[in-house]
Amino acid sequence: MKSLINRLDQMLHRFKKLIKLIDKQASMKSVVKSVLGALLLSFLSLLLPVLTVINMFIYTKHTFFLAILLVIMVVAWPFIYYYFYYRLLKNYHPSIEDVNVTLPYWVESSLIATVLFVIGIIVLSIIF
Amino acid sequence: MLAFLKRYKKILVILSFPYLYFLFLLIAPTHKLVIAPGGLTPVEQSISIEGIHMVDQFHTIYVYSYYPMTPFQTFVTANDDRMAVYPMSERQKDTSWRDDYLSGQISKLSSLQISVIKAYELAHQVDPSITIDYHFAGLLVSYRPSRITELEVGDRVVAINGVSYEGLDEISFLALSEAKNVTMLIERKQGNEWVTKSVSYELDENEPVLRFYPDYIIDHAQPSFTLPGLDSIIGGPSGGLIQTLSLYASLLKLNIGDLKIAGTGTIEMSGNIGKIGGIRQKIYTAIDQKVDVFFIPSDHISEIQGIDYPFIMYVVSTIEEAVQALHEVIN
Repeated sequence: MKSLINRLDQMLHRFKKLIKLIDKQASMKSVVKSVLGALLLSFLSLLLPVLTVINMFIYTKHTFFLAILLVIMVVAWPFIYYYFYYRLLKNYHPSIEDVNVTLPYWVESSLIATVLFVIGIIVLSIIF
Repeated sequence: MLAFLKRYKKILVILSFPYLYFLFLLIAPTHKLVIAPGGLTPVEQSISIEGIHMVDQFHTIYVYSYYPMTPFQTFVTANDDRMAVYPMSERQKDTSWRDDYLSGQISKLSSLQISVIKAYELAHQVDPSITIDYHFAGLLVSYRPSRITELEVGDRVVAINGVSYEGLDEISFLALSEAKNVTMLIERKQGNEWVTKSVSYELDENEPVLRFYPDYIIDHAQPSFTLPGLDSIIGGPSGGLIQTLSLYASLLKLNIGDLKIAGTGTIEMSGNIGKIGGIRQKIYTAIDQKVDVFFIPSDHISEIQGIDYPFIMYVVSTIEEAVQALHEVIN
Protein backbone atom coordinates (compact mmCIF):
# COMPACT_ATOMS: atom_id res chain seq x y z
CA MET A 1 0.00 0.00 0.00
CA LYS A 2 2.79 2.34 1.00
CA SER A 3 4.73 1.59 -2.17
CA LEU A 4 1.64 2.31 -4.27
CA ILE A 5 1.24 5.71 -2.60
CA ASN A 6 4.94 6.36 -3.13
CA ARG A 7 4.66 5.44 -6.79
CA LEU A 8 1.63 7.72 -7.21
CA ASP A 9 3.49 10.52 -5.47
CA GLN A 10 6.49 10.06 -7.74
CA MET A 11 4.23 10.02 -10.76
CA LEU A 12 2.53 13.24 -9.69
CA HIS A 13 5.91 14.81 -9.12
CA ARG A 14 7.10 13.78 -12.58
CA PHE A 15 3.82 14.99 -14.11
CA LYS A 16 4.20 18.43 -12.51
CA LYS A 17 7.80 18.66 -13.69
CA LEU A 18 6.92 17.70 -17.25
CA ILE A 19 4.01 20.16 -17.38
CA LYS A 20 6.32 22.94 -16.16
CA LEU A 21 8.86 21.99 -18.81
CA ILE A 22 6.23 22.06 -21.57
CA ASP A 23 4.76 25.35 -20.31
CA LYS A 24 8.21 26.93 -20.29
CA GLN A 25 8.80 26.07 -23.94
CA ALA A 26 5.29 26.76 -25.29
CA SER A 27 3.96 30.26 -25.97
CA MET A 28 0.43 31.40 -25.20
CA LYS A 29 -0.29 31.88 -28.91
CA SER A 30 0.78 28.36 -29.86
CA VAL A 31 -1.16 26.83 -26.95
CA VAL A 32 -4.36 28.61 -28.05
CA LYS A 33 -3.79 27.49 -31.66
CA SER A 34 -3.13 23.90 -30.53
CA VAL A 35 -6.26 23.87 -28.34
CA LEU A 36 -8.46 25.17 -31.18
CA GLY A 37 -6.85 22.81 -33.70
CA ALA A 38 -7.21 19.82 -31.37
CA LEU A 39 -10.88 20.72 -30.69
CA LEU A 40 -11.56 20.87 -34.43
CA LEU A 41 -9.71 17.65 -35.27
CA SER A 42 -11.19 15.67 -32.36
CA PHE A 43 -14.67 16.94 -33.31
CA LEU A 44 -14.19 15.84 -36.92
CA SER A 45 -12.82 12.46 -35.80
CA LEU A 46 -15.84 11.68 -33.65
CA LEU A 47 -18.50 13.30 -35.84
CA LEU A 48 -19.08 10.31 -38.16
CA PRO A 49 -19.24 7.57 -35.48
CA VAL A 50 -21.51 9.72 -33.27
CA LEU A 51 -23.85 10.52 -36.18
CA THR A 52 -23.94 6.82 -37.11
CA VAL A 53 -24.99 5.87 -33.57
CA ILE A 54 -27.61 8.66 -33.49
CA ASN A 55 -29.00 7.43 -36.83
CA MET A 56 -29.29 3.92 -35.39
CA PHE A 57 -31.60 5.13 -32.59
CA ILE A 58 -34.54 4.17 -34.85
CA TYR A 59 -33.82 0.63 -33.58
CA THR A 60 -35.59 1.27 -30.29
CA LYS A 61 -34.86 -2.22 -28.97
CA HIS A 62 -31.18 -1.28 -28.83
CA THR A 63 -31.60 2.19 -27.36
CA PHE A 64 -29.75 1.36 -24.15
CA PHE A 65 -26.82 -0.26 -25.98
CA LEU A 66 -26.61 2.72 -28.35
CA ALA A 67 -26.67 5.17 -25.43
CA ILE A 68 -23.76 3.25 -23.84
CA LEU A 69 -21.88 3.47 -27.17
CA LEU A 70 -22.43 7.25 -27.14
CA VAL A 71 -21.06 7.46 -23.59
CA ILE A 72 -18.00 5.44 -24.66
CA MET A 73 -17.42 7.88 -27.51
CA VAL A 74 -17.77 10.85 -25.17
CA VAL A 75 -15.26 9.21 -22.80
CA ALA A 76 -12.90 8.58 -25.74
CA TRP A 77 -13.03 12.23 -26.77
CA PRO A 78 -10.39 13.61 -24.28
CA PHE A 79 -7.89 10.94 -25.39
CA ILE A 80 -8.32 12.01 -29.02
CA TYR A 81 -8.27 15.68 -28.09
CA TYR A 82 -5.02 15.45 -26.08
CA TYR A 83 -3.41 13.30 -28.78
CA PHE A 84 -3.98 16.06 -31.34
CA TYR A 85 -3.13 18.77 -28.80
CA TYR A 86 0.37 17.41 -28.14
CA ARG A 87 0.90 16.59 -31.81
CA LEU A 88 0.10 20.19 -32.73
CA LEU A 89 2.14 21.63 -29.86
CA LYS A 90 5.16 19.59 -30.93
CA ASN A 91 4.57 20.85 -34.43
CA TYR A 92 4.72 24.49 -33.23
CA HIS A 93 7.64 23.85 -30.86
CA PRO A 94 10.00 21.17 -32.20
CA SER A 95 11.94 21.45 -28.92
CA ILE A 96 9.03 19.69 -27.16
CA GLU A 97 9.70 16.70 -29.40
CA ASP A 98 12.38 15.66 -26.92
CA VAL A 99 10.00 15.92 -23.95
CA ASN A 100 8.22 12.73 -22.98
CA VAL A 101 4.53 13.76 -23.16
CA THR A 102 3.17 10.26 -22.50
CA LEU A 103 2.60 10.86 -18.80
CA PRO A 104 0.87 14.30 -19.15
CA TYR A 105 -1.20 12.86 -22.01
CA TRP A 106 -2.49 9.90 -19.98
CA VAL A 107 -3.00 11.86 -16.74
CA GLU A 108 -4.89 14.76 -18.33
CA SER A 109 -6.96 12.57 -20.65
CA SER A 110 -7.86 10.17 -17.85
CA LEU A 111 -8.94 12.98 -15.53
CA ILE A 112 -11.28 14.54 -18.10
CA ALA A 113 -12.50 11.09 -19.22
CA THR A 114 -13.37 10.18 -15.60
CA VAL A 115 -15.41 13.37 -15.17
CA LEU A 116 -17.22 12.75 -18.49
CA PHE A 117 -17.79 9.11 -17.56
CA VAL A 118 -19.46 10.11 -14.26
CA ILE A 119 -21.65 12.67 -16.07
CA GLY A 120 -22.52 10.01 -18.69
CA ILE A 121 -23.54 7.50 -16.03
CA ILE A 122 -25.73 10.11 -14.29
CA VAL A 123 -27.42 11.04 -17.60
CA LEU A 124 -27.98 7.34 -18.46
CA SER A 125 -29.48 6.60 -15.06
CA ILE A 126 -31.87 9.57 -15.42
CA ILE A 127 -33.01 8.57 -18.92
CA PHE A 128 -33.33 4.79 -18.39
CA MET B 1 -2.00 23.86 -37.67
CA LEU B 2 -1.28 24.73 -41.30
CA ALA B 3 2.11 23.04 -41.13
CA PHE B 4 0.41 20.00 -39.62
CA LEU B 5 -2.19 19.95 -42.37
CA LYS B 6 0.50 20.40 -45.04
CA ARG B 7 2.40 17.42 -43.71
CA TYR B 8 -0.66 15.17 -44.11
CA LYS B 9 -2.10 16.96 -47.15
CA LYS B 10 -2.24 13.95 -49.44
CA ILE B 11 -3.97 11.61 -47.03
CA LEU B 12 -6.39 14.34 -45.87
CA VAL B 13 -7.44 15.12 -49.44
CA ILE B 14 -8.01 11.41 -50.14
CA LEU B 15 -9.96 10.90 -46.91
CA SER B 16 -12.08 14.04 -47.33
CA PHE B 17 -14.10 12.52 -50.21
CA PRO B 18 -15.42 9.42 -48.37
CA TYR B 19 -15.75 11.57 -45.21
CA LEU B 20 -18.04 14.10 -46.91
CA TYR B 21 -19.95 11.30 -48.65
CA PHE B 22 -20.68 9.53 -45.35
CA LEU B 23 -21.51 12.84 -43.68
CA PHE B 24 -24.08 13.45 -46.41
CA LEU B 25 -25.57 9.96 -45.89
CA LEU B 26 -25.88 10.59 -42.16
CA ILE B 27 -27.45 14.06 -42.15
CA ALA B 28 -29.21 14.75 -45.45
CA PRO B 29 -33.02 14.63 -45.07
CA THR B 30 -35.10 12.46 -47.40
CA HIS B 31 -38.87 12.74 -47.86
CA LYS B 32 -39.40 9.46 -46.04
CA LEU B 33 -40.84 8.48 -42.67
CA VAL B 34 -40.10 5.40 -40.59
CA ILE B 35 -42.37 3.73 -38.04
CA ALA B 36 -40.49 1.48 -35.60
CA PRO B 37 -41.65 -0.79 -32.77
CA GLY B 38 -41.85 1.02 -29.44
CA GLY B 39 -43.05 -0.03 -26.00
CA LEU B 40 -45.94 -0.31 -23.54
CA THR B 41 -47.37 2.33 -21.21
CA PRO B 42 -49.45 1.13 -18.23
CA VAL B 43 -52.85 2.85 -18.36
CA GLU B 44 -52.69 3.42 -14.58
CA GLN B 45 -50.01 6.06 -15.33
CA SER B 46 -52.46 7.99 -17.51
CA ILE B 47 -55.68 7.94 -15.48
CA SER B 48 -56.44 7.66 -11.77
CA ILE B 49 -59.82 7.43 -10.06
CA GLU B 50 -60.32 8.77 -6.55
CA GLY B 51 -60.65 5.97 -3.99
CA ILE B 52 -60.29 3.20 -6.59
CA HIS B 53 -57.19 1.14 -7.31
CA MET B 54 -56.63 1.14 -11.08
CA VAL B 55 -56.28 -2.37 -12.52
CA ASP B 56 -52.61 -2.49 -13.49
CA GLN B 57 -52.68 -5.13 -16.26
CA PHE B 58 -53.81 -2.82 -19.08
CA HIS B 59 -51.24 -1.26 -21.39
CA THR B 60 -51.41 1.07 -24.34
CA ILE B 61 -48.83 0.55 -27.07
CA TYR B 62 -46.73 3.27 -28.63
CA VAL B 63 -44.55 3.12 -31.72
CA TYR B 64 -41.83 5.51 -32.82
CA SER B 65 -42.51 7.66 -35.83
CA TYR B 66 -39.50 9.54 -37.15
CA TYR B 67 -39.15 11.88 -40.11
CA PRO B 68 -37.41 12.94 -42.22
CA MET B 69 -35.17 9.87 -42.50
CA THR B 70 -31.54 10.18 -43.57
CA PRO B 71 -30.24 8.17 -46.57
CA PHE B 72 -28.29 6.00 -44.10
CA GLN B 73 -31.50 5.14 -42.20
CA THR B 74 -33.28 4.36 -45.48
CA PHE B 75 -30.43 2.00 -46.37
CA VAL B 76 -30.32 0.11 -43.03
CA THR B 77 -34.12 -0.29 -42.79
CA ALA B 78 -34.57 -1.38 -46.43
CA ASN B 79 -34.71 -5.11 -45.63
CA ASP B 80 -36.13 -4.93 -42.12
CA ASP B 81 -39.69 -6.31 -41.90
CA ARG B 82 -40.18 -4.78 -38.45
CA MET B 83 -39.85 -1.25 -39.82
CA ALA B 84 -42.32 0.51 -42.08
CA VAL B 85 -40.97 3.18 -44.39
CA TYR B 86 -43.41 5.51 -46.14
CA PRO B 87 -43.03 8.60 -48.28
CA MET B 88 -43.96 11.66 -46.21
CA SER B 89 -47.46 12.99 -46.85
CA GLU B 90 -48.07 16.63 -47.79
CA ARG B 91 -49.44 17.14 -44.28
CA GLN B 92 -46.25 15.77 -42.66
CA LYS B 93 -44.02 17.88 -44.91
CA ASP B 94 -46.01 20.92 -43.82
CA THR B 95 -45.87 20.15 -40.08
CA SER B 96 -43.06 21.30 -37.80
CA TRP B 97 -41.79 19.04 -35.01
CA ARG B 98 -43.39 21.38 -32.46
CA ASP B 99 -46.80 21.23 -34.15
CA ASP B 100 -46.47 17.45 -34.51
CA TYR B 101 -45.86 17.15 -30.75
CA LEU B 102 -48.75 19.51 -29.93
CA SER B 103 -51.03 17.58 -32.28
CA GLY B 104 -50.16 14.33 -30.45
CA GLN B 105 -51.02 15.98 -27.13
CA ILE B 106 -54.36 17.31 -28.47
CA SER B 107 -55.40 13.90 -29.80
CA LYS B 108 -54.37 12.28 -26.49
CA LEU B 109 -56.47 14.78 -24.49
CA SER B 110 -59.52 14.12 -26.67
CA SER B 111 -58.95 10.36 -26.49
CA LEU B 112 -58.71 10.43 -22.69
CA GLN B 113 -61.88 12.54 -22.40
CA ILE B 114 -63.88 10.16 -24.59
CA SER B 115 -62.42 7.09 -22.83
CA VAL B 116 -63.54 8.43 -19.44
CA ILE B 117 -67.03 9.25 -20.74
CA LYS B 118 -67.55 5.89 -22.46
CA ALA B 119 -66.15 3.88 -19.53
CA TYR B 120 -68.36 5.69 -17.00
CA GLU B 121 -71.42 5.27 -19.24
CA LEU B 122 -70.75 1.52 -19.67
CA ALA B 123 -70.04 1.05 -15.95
CA HIS B 124 -73.25 3.01 -15.11
CA GLN B 125 -75.26 0.27 -16.84
CA VAL B 126 -73.91 -2.21 -14.27
CA ASP B 127 -73.57 0.08 -11.24
CA PRO B 128 -75.95 3.10 -11.31
CA SER B 129 -73.93 4.88 -8.59
CA ILE B 130 -71.26 5.57 -11.23
CA THR B 131 -72.35 8.72 -13.07
CA ILE B 132 -70.94 11.29 -15.46
CA ASP B 133 -72.15 14.64 -16.89
CA TYR B 134 -70.42 16.22 -19.84
CA HIS B 135 -71.00 18.51 -22.78
CA PHE B 136 -69.49 19.03 -26.23
CA ALA B 137 -67.40 22.23 -26.18
CA GLY B 138 -66.17 22.60 -29.77
CA LEU B 139 -63.31 21.27 -31.90
CA LEU B 140 -59.58 21.40 -31.16
CA VAL B 141 -57.32 22.18 -34.13
CA SER B 142 -54.88 19.30 -34.65
CA TYR B 143 -53.54 20.32 -38.08
CA ARG B 144 -53.82 23.43 -40.20
CA PRO B 145 -51.78 24.35 -43.30
CA SER B 146 -48.78 26.30 -42.00
CA ARG B 147 -49.63 29.25 -44.27
CA ILE B 148 -52.72 29.93 -42.12
CA THR B 149 -50.61 31.59 -39.45
CA GLU B 150 -53.59 33.09 -37.55
CA LEU B 151 -54.64 29.59 -36.54
CA GLU B 152 -52.59 27.52 -34.09
CA VAL B 153 -52.59 23.83 -33.18
CA GLY B 154 -54.64 23.53 -29.98
CA ASP B 155 -57.06 26.41 -30.73
CA ARG B 156 -60.65 25.58 -29.80
CA VAL B 157 -63.15 26.26 -32.61
CA VAL B 158 -66.50 27.42 -31.14
CA ALA B 159 -68.29 28.68 -34.26
CA ILE B 160 -67.97 27.97 -37.99
CA ASN B 161 -69.42 30.38 -40.56
CA GLY B 162 -71.57 31.94 -37.84
CA VAL B 163 -72.95 28.63 -36.51
CA SER B 164 -72.08 27.92 -32.87
CA TYR B 165 -71.20 24.46 -31.54
CA GLU B 166 -73.95 24.85 -28.94
CA GLY B 167 -76.92 22.73 -29.83
CA LEU B 168 -74.90 20.69 -32.36
CA ASP B 169 -73.18 17.35 -31.90
CA GLU B 170 -69.57 16.62 -32.88
CA ILE B 171 -70.37 15.17 -36.34
CA SER B 172 -72.71 18.00 -37.41
CA PHE B 173 -70.26 20.68 -36.22
CA LEU B 174 -67.33 18.93 -37.92
CA ALA B 175 -69.27 18.82 -41.20
CA LEU B 176 -69.38 22.64 -41.21
CA SER B 177 -65.55 22.79 -41.31
CA GLU B 178 -65.45 20.95 -44.64
CA ALA B 179 -66.48 24.05 -46.60
CA LYS B 180 -63.80 25.68 -48.82
CA ASN B 181 -64.38 29.20 -47.49
CA VAL B 182 -64.49 29.18 -43.73
CA THR B 183 -64.66 31.80 -41.00
CA MET B 184 -64.03 30.38 -37.58
CA LEU B 185 -64.47 31.82 -34.14
CA ILE B 186 -61.71 30.36 -32.00
CA GLU B 187 -60.75 30.43 -28.34
CA ARG B 188 -57.05 30.37 -27.41
CA LYS B 189 -55.53 30.11 -23.96
CA GLN B 190 -52.93 32.83 -23.42
CA GLY B 191 -51.48 32.60 -19.93
CA ASN B 192 -54.47 32.27 -17.63
CA GLU B 193 -56.93 33.97 -19.98
CA TRP B 194 -59.00 32.71 -22.89
CA VAL B 195 -58.83 35.02 -25.91
CA THR B 196 -61.52 34.89 -28.63
CA LYS B 197 -60.48 35.52 -32.24
CA SER B 198 -61.99 35.26 -35.72
CA VAL B 199 -60.00 33.47 -38.44
CA SER B 200 -60.93 33.22 -42.14
CA TYR B 201 -59.31 31.06 -44.80
CA GLU B 202 -59.90 29.55 -48.21
CA LEU B 203 -58.38 26.15 -48.93
CA ASP B 204 -56.49 25.64 -52.20
CA GLU B 205 -57.48 22.79 -54.51
CA ASN B 206 -54.66 20.35 -53.58
CA GLU B 207 -54.08 21.51 -50.04
CA PRO B 208 -54.44 19.05 -47.12
CA VAL B 209 -57.64 19.71 -45.18
CA LEU B 210 -57.64 20.82 -41.55
CA ARG B 211 -57.86 18.19 -38.81
CA PHE B 212 -59.81 18.49 -35.58
CA TYR B 213 -60.46 16.50 -32.43
CA PRO B 214 -63.63 16.97 -30.35
CA ASP B 215 -63.32 18.71 -26.98
CA TYR B 216 -65.66 17.32 -24.33
CA ILE B 217 -65.84 19.06 -20.96
CA ILE B 218 -66.66 16.72 -18.10
CA ASP B 219 -68.80 18.74 -15.67
CA HIS B 220 -69.17 16.10 -13.00
CA ALA B 221 -68.06 12.50 -12.45
CA GLN B 222 -68.76 10.15 -9.59
CA PRO B 223 -66.20 8.87 -8.56
CA SER B 224 -63.95 11.77 -9.56
CA PHE B 225 -60.81 11.21 -11.62
CA THR B 226 -57.57 12.88 -12.68
CA LEU B 227 -55.53 12.55 -15.88
CA PRO B 228 -51.82 12.43 -14.97
CA GLY B 229 -51.12 11.07 -18.47
CA LEU B 230 -51.56 14.58 -19.86
CA ASP B 231 -48.08 15.41 -18.50
CA SER B 232 -46.42 12.60 -20.47
CA ILE B 233 -44.56 13.38 -23.73
CA ILE B 234 -46.13 10.36 -25.46
CA GLY B 235 -49.08 11.56 -27.53
CA GLY B 236 -51.67 10.25 -29.95
CA PRO B 237 -55.21 8.91 -29.89
CA SER B 238 -54.48 5.18 -30.28
CA GLY B 239 -54.84 4.35 -26.58
CA GLY B 240 -58.59 5.10 -26.60
CA LEU B 241 -59.86 1.51 -26.67
CA ILE B 242 -57.56 0.12 -24.00
CA GLN B 243 -57.96 3.18 -21.75
CA THR B 244 -61.72 2.71 -21.83
CA LEU B 245 -61.42 -1.00 -20.98
CA SER B 246 -58.99 -0.29 -18.13
CA LEU B 247 -61.29 2.36 -16.64
CA TYR B 248 -64.31 0.10 -17.02
CA ALA B 249 -62.55 -2.81 -15.29
CA SER B 250 -61.28 -0.53 -12.50
CA LEU B 251 -64.66 1.15 -11.88
CA LEU B 252 -66.37 -2.25 -11.58
CA LYS B 253 -63.41 -3.77 -9.69
CA LEU B 254 -63.19 -6.69 -12.14
CA ASN B 255 -60.65 -9.37 -11.29
CA ILE B 256 -58.35 -9.73 -14.30
CA GLY B 257 -55.90 -12.14 -12.66
CA ASP B 258 -52.30 -11.74 -13.73
CA LEU B 259 -52.91 -11.38 -17.46
CA LYS B 260 -50.93 -8.74 -19.33
CA ILE B 261 -53.47 -6.99 -21.58
CA ALA B 262 -52.57 -4.58 -24.35
CA GLY B 263 -54.31 -3.19 -27.39
CA THR B 264 -54.70 -0.36 -29.79
CA GLY B 265 -57.48 1.59 -31.51
CA THR B 266 -59.06 5.01 -31.23
CA ILE B 267 -62.39 5.51 -29.55
CA GLU B 268 -65.24 7.65 -30.86
CA MET B 269 -68.28 8.96 -29.00
CA SER B 270 -70.43 6.60 -31.06
CA GLY B 271 -68.49 3.70 -29.48
CA ASN B 272 -66.77 2.78 -32.74
CA ILE B 273 -63.14 1.70 -32.59
CA GLY B 274 -61.12 3.53 -35.23
CA LYS B 275 -57.97 2.78 -37.23
CA ILE B 276 -54.50 3.73 -36.09
CA GLY B 277 -51.06 4.00 -37.74
CA GLY B 278 -48.23 1.46 -37.54
CA ILE B 279 -50.34 -1.60 -36.69
CA ARG B 280 -47.63 -4.12 -37.67
CA GLN B 281 -45.07 -2.33 -35.51
CA LYS B 282 -47.56 -2.42 -32.62
CA ILE B 283 -47.96 -6.18 -33.03
CA TYR B 284 -44.15 -6.58 -32.99
CA THR B 285 -44.03 -4.45 -29.84
CA ALA B 286 -46.68 -6.65 -28.19
CA ILE B 287 -44.65 -9.76 -29.11
CA ASP B 288 -41.45 -8.21 -27.69
CA GLN B 289 -43.25 -7.21 -24.49
CA LYS B 290 -44.79 -10.68 -24.03
CA VAL B 291 -48.44 -9.63 -23.70
CA ASP B 292 -51.11 -12.31 -23.09
CA VAL B 293 -54.18 -10.66 -24.65
CA PHE B 294 -54.29 -8.14 -27.47
CA PHE B 295 -57.24 -6.01 -28.72
CA ILE B 296 -57.16 -4.81 -32.33
CA PRO B 297 -59.65 -2.80 -34.45
CA SER B 298 -61.40 -4.96 -37.04
CA ASP B 299 -60.34 -2.58 -39.84
CA HIS B 300 -56.73 -3.70 -39.41
CA ILE B 301 -57.14 -7.45 -39.59
CA SER B 302 -56.01 -7.71 -43.25
CA GLU B 303 -52.82 -5.75 -42.52
CA ILE B 304 -51.33 -8.17 -40.00
CA GLN B 305 -51.30 -11.30 -42.14
CA GLY B 306 -48.02 -13.18 -42.02
CA ILE B 307 -47.14 -12.18 -38.47
CA ASP B 308 -46.85 -15.12 -36.10
CA TYR B 309 -48.04 -13.82 -32.71
CA PRO B 310 -48.11 -15.86 -29.50
CA PHE B 311 -51.00 -14.08 -27.72
CA ILE B 312 -54.82 -14.28 -27.80
CA MET B 313 -56.12 -11.63 -30.17
CA TYR B 314 -59.60 -10.07 -30.00
CA VAL B 315 -60.79 -8.26 -33.11
CA VAL B 316 -63.36 -5.61 -32.22
CA SER B 317 -65.21 -2.85 -34.02
CA THR B 318 -67.11 -1.25 -31.12
CA ILE B 319 -66.38 -0.70 -27.44
CA GLU B 320 -69.37 -2.88 -26.57
CA GLU B 321 -67.72 -5.80 -28.42
CA ALA B 322 -64.48 -5.09 -26.55
CA VAL B 323 -66.27 -5.15 -23.18
CA GLN B 324 -67.88 -8.46 -24.11
CA ALA B 325 -64.46 -9.84 -25.08
CA LEU B 326 -63.03 -8.62 -21.78
CA HIS B 327 -65.68 -10.57 -19.87
CA GLU B 328 -64.76 -13.64 -21.98
CA VAL B 329 -61.11 -13.16 -20.94
CA ILE B 330 -62.05 -12.93 -17.27
CA ASN B 331 -64.28 -15.98 -17.40
